[in-house]
This record gives sequence, structure tokens and C-alpha cells, in this order.
Amino acid sequence: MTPGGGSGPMKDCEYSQISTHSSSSPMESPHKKKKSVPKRKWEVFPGRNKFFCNGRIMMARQTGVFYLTLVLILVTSGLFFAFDCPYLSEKITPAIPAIGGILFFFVMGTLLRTSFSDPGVLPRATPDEAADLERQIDIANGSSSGGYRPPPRTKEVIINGQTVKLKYCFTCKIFRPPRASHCSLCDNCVERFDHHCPWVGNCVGKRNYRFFYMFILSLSFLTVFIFAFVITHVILRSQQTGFLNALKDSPARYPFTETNSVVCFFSVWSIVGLSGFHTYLISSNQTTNEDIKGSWSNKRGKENYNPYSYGNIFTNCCAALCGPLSPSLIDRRGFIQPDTPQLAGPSNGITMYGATQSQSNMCDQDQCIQSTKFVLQAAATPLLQSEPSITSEELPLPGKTSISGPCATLTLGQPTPPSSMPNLTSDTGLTDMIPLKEEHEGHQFLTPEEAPSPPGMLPSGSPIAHSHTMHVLSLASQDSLHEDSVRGLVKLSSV
Amino acid sequence: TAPQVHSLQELRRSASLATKVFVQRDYSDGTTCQFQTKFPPELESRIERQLFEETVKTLNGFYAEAEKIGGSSYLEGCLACATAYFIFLCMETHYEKVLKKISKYIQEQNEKIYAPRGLLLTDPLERGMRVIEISIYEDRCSSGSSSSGSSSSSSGGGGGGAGGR
Repeated sequence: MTPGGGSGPMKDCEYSQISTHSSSSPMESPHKKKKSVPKRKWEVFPGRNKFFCNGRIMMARQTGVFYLTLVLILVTSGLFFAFDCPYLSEKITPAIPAIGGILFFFVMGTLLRTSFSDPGVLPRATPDEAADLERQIDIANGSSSGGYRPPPRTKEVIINGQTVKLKYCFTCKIFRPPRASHCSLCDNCVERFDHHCPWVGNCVGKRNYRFFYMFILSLSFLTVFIFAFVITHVILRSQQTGFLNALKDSPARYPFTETNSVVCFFSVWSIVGLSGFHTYLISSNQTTNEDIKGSWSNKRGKENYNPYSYGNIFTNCCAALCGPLSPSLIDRRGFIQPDTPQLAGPSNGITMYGATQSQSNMCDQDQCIQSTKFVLQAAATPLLQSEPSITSEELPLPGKTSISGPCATLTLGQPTPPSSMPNLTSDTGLTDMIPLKEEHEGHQFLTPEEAPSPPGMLPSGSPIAHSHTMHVLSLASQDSLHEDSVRGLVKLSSV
Repeated sequence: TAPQVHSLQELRRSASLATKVFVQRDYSDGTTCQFQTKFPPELESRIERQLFEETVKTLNGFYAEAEKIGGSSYLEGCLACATAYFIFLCMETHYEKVLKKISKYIQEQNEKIYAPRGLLLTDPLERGMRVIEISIYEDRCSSGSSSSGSSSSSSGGGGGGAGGR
């Protein structure tokens, strides 16, 4: 009786899990559960990005021009190695293809790094953060002045003596850090936003600026290199056979040499020019964004200077290129639900069992310490990881009265529990935390699928034994923790 | 409300999330990651000012160490550049190492200082390095004075209630 009683609302949760697969046997349900594999965070990423390799690679939505870049580089280099290198390596030195190879390798490496990495995207604010900010803005502006025109949302900050305005981003619901900007193509706020480069198919920001710079620098060397040696090739050949003959021969034996040189000619000017421009930007520690807007130019005022510059060119360059690389803030490959053993890990189980087994000789104090640890571990990870699931779902459907209570406790932070489970609140406040969260996470899987409301599920409810079986068969982490919590409830209630 | 010294007993019995406090970034030094050491008024009754400030100052110190531009970071940067950044595929950066230290520190602080006071720190990394989120947990039982009496009665009642169902 006690086990059944102690897990009243959890029974509802178990029923809700079962009812989804009510037509199927218990054996089938794990398959269905496994079909709805816990999603990784990249799958629900709110920005307009494309992800590949299960979240390892991140690019902008339009990647057509990137493929063009790849093709241009590969074809040009390929033709060079195939047709010009054999002649040049025997005529002049084999170091030419070697150096060309190294340059090509460097160009491809940096290009892929630039295109595939996270430029420094700022994750959007969690609902709690956004609400807190709104409150502060209202207080600052005087909430009575609400009216029709929303007050301007800026914060002023003094950085190294220069006043910088921080703008509020309505999409990401944050105040943008200095030098961050919102990319309209990718719909993300990016730290130290430089520009969105269609050629690399990604934004260029704090985390990939050095890769971008090394890419255009090495590409300029490569194009100059290829251009120079293609011209050398034609000249040498023309010395042998005469210029016109050289040109005549080349389409037959060395196809596309002219095309190659033409492509290189135009590339050289544009790429070398771009490298020069970015060298200037790095040495003065500005972003393309700031330079175009003239944020730190003297034309704005005599007092205007760049507060981020270190003063001398060398330090600026070193900081931009050799400074520490900050980690990605968006955790693309993390899971949304905690299905990793973190929650249902042995530590939590042991905590509960430790508390329960030694209940006779443990004093209350020790048990409280154990339970506090349990709260800590339990609260920390699910709060952090389940919040996206909560936001995506808001409050559960009104039909689920018995379940919506605890879920509401989580989302709204209401301290008063629903009346349907009075027995739980008094002695199982801690173990409340995990089962409630898991109910909610269970919802994430079930709401698209299930039709009947929980009251309808109750009659079809199974005794605890069956639900334990269900636990065993369903997702490991959630249910082993359910088990633990159930047993813990049993033991705790008998303290 | 009167300042409640939360015994672990009370925390054990009832812990529900009441509110969250956000410690914002301090940009006065530029774009380096630093957090404001200003003491939030909501924590006035929950934790000593000095403990809180020390936590934030230590965190700031960690972040400054991670972002430090000096000899070792130059070495790492040059080596990475020389290998066309392929070395990042196998090596952990200095920043990542410091972040691991930070996460351990936060866990330790939570266990020793914040959880006993009904608070919980969230690693800023989980919030995009924008804020230090401090969750404040409230007791569900109203009176603190009758805690000893209510603990035995509620646990008994809870057990009875559980047994009754």
C-alpha cells in the first residue's frame, strides 16, 4: 500500500507514459520510446543555421557560394599541380610543388575551420533571464510610461574611458555585449561580429576571425604563387618554342592554363586587397562592422578613440591571432533531456540508498546532508538541462491536472503544491524535484503523440509492480531514477 | 521576513524554487569576462555579503586567467597556427582547462556554502557567459520557530499519509 500511496503523482506520470503506448504491449513501448531519441541541442537551435555531422559542423543557411569557393580553389590548384608542376619541377626545382602543396593544405584547413566552426554565437536568453531583464528595464524607465512607444532599450557602459552603448536585442532578449552584433542572415547575436561572409558560408566573429584571416592570407599567397608560376611556365615554354607556339600548344597539352591565369589574376587583386584590409583592421583592433560604421574614427569627434586597442600594432596582432580561443557557448551536441547517467547515476542512487539503509543509525542531520546533496545534484542538472524543454512546451495542457501541478511548480516557481498530492509535500519535498522534472520531460515525448487526458488514464493504471516493469523497460535514466525516488519515498516516509 | 537560518532539516523537507537572481557582466574593462561584484538585494537575508563577493571575485580571477594574453597563450596560438589549427582536434585549449577548474569550483561552492543556505549557483557557461544565475529556494513550511515540532509531526503525517493511500 505504502509504495502505491507514496507515489501518487508519479503514478499519474507512469500512467501517462503507459497510455501513449496503450495499444502496444509493454515490450513494444521501449522501441517507441527509443524512437523518440533525446534530441541534441543543435536540433532545436533557434537561429538560421545548418548543422552537419550530428552538430559538429555549423554553417549559415545559404552555402551555395561556399561550394563555389571550394570548387574554385580545388580546380585552380588541381590544374596547377597537374599541368604546370611537372614542367616546373623538372625545369626549375621540385620545391615548387612542395611549397604549393603546403600552401594548399593550409588554405583548405583554414577555410574549413572558418566555415565549420561556431563564430561566437551568443545563446538566447532563458525565459527567467528575459523576464528579469524586462523587469529591470521597466523599473529603469518607469513602468507607468508604458504607453504606445516602447522606451529605447540601451545601456551605457564606460570602457577604458570611452562611453559605449549596449543595445538590447529583441530577438535574443539580451543586452548585447560590446562589439557583438546580430547577424540578420543567421538570426544570431555573434560576439565581436566582423561580417557575414558568403564565400565561407558563415559569420566571421570572435571565435573564427583568426581562421578567416589566416585563410585569406594563405589564399593570397597561394594565388600569387600559382599566378606567378603559371606565368613562368608560359614564359619558359615560349622561350623554347616561341610565344605563339606556346599558346597554341597549351590548350592541347596544358589545358586551361590561360583560364587559370585569368582566374588567378582577378583573385589576386581581390584577395590580396582583402588581406591588406584585414591586416589593417587587426593592427588597429577593429571589426569590419566598426570600421564601416566609423565607430572609432576621428571624424566623429576628437575625443573618439578605440577603447579596445592595446596601443601598439604588435600587441593588437598577437591578441587577435594568438590570443586564447574561447569555447563555443551554444553546446551544439549536448542533449536537451538529461538522459545521461548524470541524474540517474549511481551517486544519486547511492545517496538515496545510503540514506535509507542506514536510517536506523543515521541521525537526521546526516540524512539531511545526503538529501541536500541529492537536491543539489538533482536540481543543478535538470534545472539547467530541462529548461529548454520547459520553454518549448510552456505549461502542460489543462487536461492534465494532476501532472500540471508539479510542473507548474517548476515553471512558475509556485511554492504551493496542488491539492491532489498533499501527502507528498511534507516529507518528500526533495524527491519531488526529480520525479516532477521527469514528468515534464516525459511530457516532451508524449504530448505530440498522446490524445487521452490523464483522468482517462487512471483506470487503466497498473499497480506499482507493473510500473516498475515499465521503468525497467523504458528510458534507463529517467526510470531508474523513478525507481530510486519511489524507493526513497518509501523509506523516507517511514522515517 | 525574518532572516531564517535554514537548518538542513528544513531544507530536506521542503525545497521549491522561489526566484532567480542574475549577476550581470561587468564590461568596464572591455570585452573580457568579468562579473559585477555588486551584492544583489534579494540575497540580503540569505548569505553574507563577504562570502558572495569572494565567490564572484574568485570566478573573475579564473576568467581573467583563462583570457590572459601572455607567453603560454602565444605559444599555443603559434603552434596551432603552424599546424593549420589541426592541433585543436586533439588538444584541449588553455581556456577549456580553466573552464573545467571553474566548474569544479562552482560545484564545491554550491556544496559547501550555497546549498546549506538554500541557494544554487549556475555555471555562467550554461548561460552563455552572460550572467551568474543564483536560484533561491524557499521553504514551504511557514514558521521557522516551530521547526523542530513540525519536522516530527510532518514527517509522521507524511508517512501516515503515504501509508494511508
